Amino acid sequence: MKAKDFPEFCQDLQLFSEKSLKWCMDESEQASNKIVHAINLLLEDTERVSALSEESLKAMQAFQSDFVLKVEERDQKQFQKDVHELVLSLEKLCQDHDEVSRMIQPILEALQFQDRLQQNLSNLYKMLVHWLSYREKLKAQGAFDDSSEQEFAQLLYGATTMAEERDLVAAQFPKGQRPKEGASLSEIKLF
Amino acid sequence: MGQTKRKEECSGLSELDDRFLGLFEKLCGQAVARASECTDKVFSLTQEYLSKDVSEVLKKFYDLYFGRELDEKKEEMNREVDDLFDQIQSNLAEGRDPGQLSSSTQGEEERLGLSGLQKKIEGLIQLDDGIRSRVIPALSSMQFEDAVRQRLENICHVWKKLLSAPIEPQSLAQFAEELADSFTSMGETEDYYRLVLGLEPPEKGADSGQTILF
Repeated sequence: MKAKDFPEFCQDLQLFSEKSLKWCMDESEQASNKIVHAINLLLEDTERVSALSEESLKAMQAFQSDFVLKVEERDQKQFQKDVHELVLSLEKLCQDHDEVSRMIQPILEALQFQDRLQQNLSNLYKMLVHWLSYREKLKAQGAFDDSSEQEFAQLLYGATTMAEERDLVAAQFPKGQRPKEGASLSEIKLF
Repeated sequence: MGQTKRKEECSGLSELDDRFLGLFEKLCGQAVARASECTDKVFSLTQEYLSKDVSEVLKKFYDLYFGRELDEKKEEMNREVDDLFDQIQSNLAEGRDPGQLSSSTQGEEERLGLSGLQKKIEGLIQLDDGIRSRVIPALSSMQFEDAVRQRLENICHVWKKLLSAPIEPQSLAQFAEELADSFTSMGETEDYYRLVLGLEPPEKGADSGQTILF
């Protein structure tokens, strides 16, 4: 390979990390598709389906059609939001139909984990970018003192969307000021 | 750290790097935990739609795949998958429900390693579309978990290694080439060669272990 200086090498490694994290997100997207399509297993199980009321069955079929439509029409960058919305739709379906809830709980929970995983992956990249950028700033400042810890922690908190991530940031950078809980979906941004 | 090591280490960078990468590693662990919990849920869903025998074999395959069982269990596992495979073939040939399996039979089948075991499972799911549709979500989720774990571990690994890298460009280039051996999948290796080394990836090298097959 051609010789590179350290900052250039860091930039290339950042691109590599980004590509790897995106690969994970793409695979997570595929995994979410497969999980939702597992609803087919339920609808093909005549014994279980026959135990459902007509209303519950219709609600499940409507959910399934809605998802397929979203999968076919969605913009890739919107998928994380779509999964989150699907989770909310499934939660509502479960609330409205107890008998459906018992059947699709594992699907709902699996999707909730995929939703959080996609947020984790997206946030990991944002934090990596903040770190590399802050390193450059710190080179001029010198010491990593309380003030710089607070400043850096603030950047990291801004890249989180879940309390469990903020718990880890707080443990590693205790001088930072942790924001109040209650992050909304609007905070979720893909890289 | 010698003269070829990064001079910038004398500043607060070292502390920032150590603490950030410690956090990054924990966050990666959190992401992998989500993938693992997802697999557990998919397994619990799948188990409701499979016969007890198929479900148990699948669960053992999962444990073996992630090294959660001791090596000596592999023989037992291989034997059970062989038996299962034979029984499903036999049931299909005789027009019976392929999911209805008898208790395990004794035999002197060839004992396979994990890769062979995977091939057997792949063969198993190709036998009958009914079983395929029920088993695939679990196998797919399992492979996904494994692939994400490897990718995230490798990202952590390269950044940690970088912090002890030489700063002089020629030495750094050699260091970067050595890092290329860290990757286990074809996709990662190709990305690293093209994006970091600026080279075409070698034709031979890492296997395609991260290809999601199911």
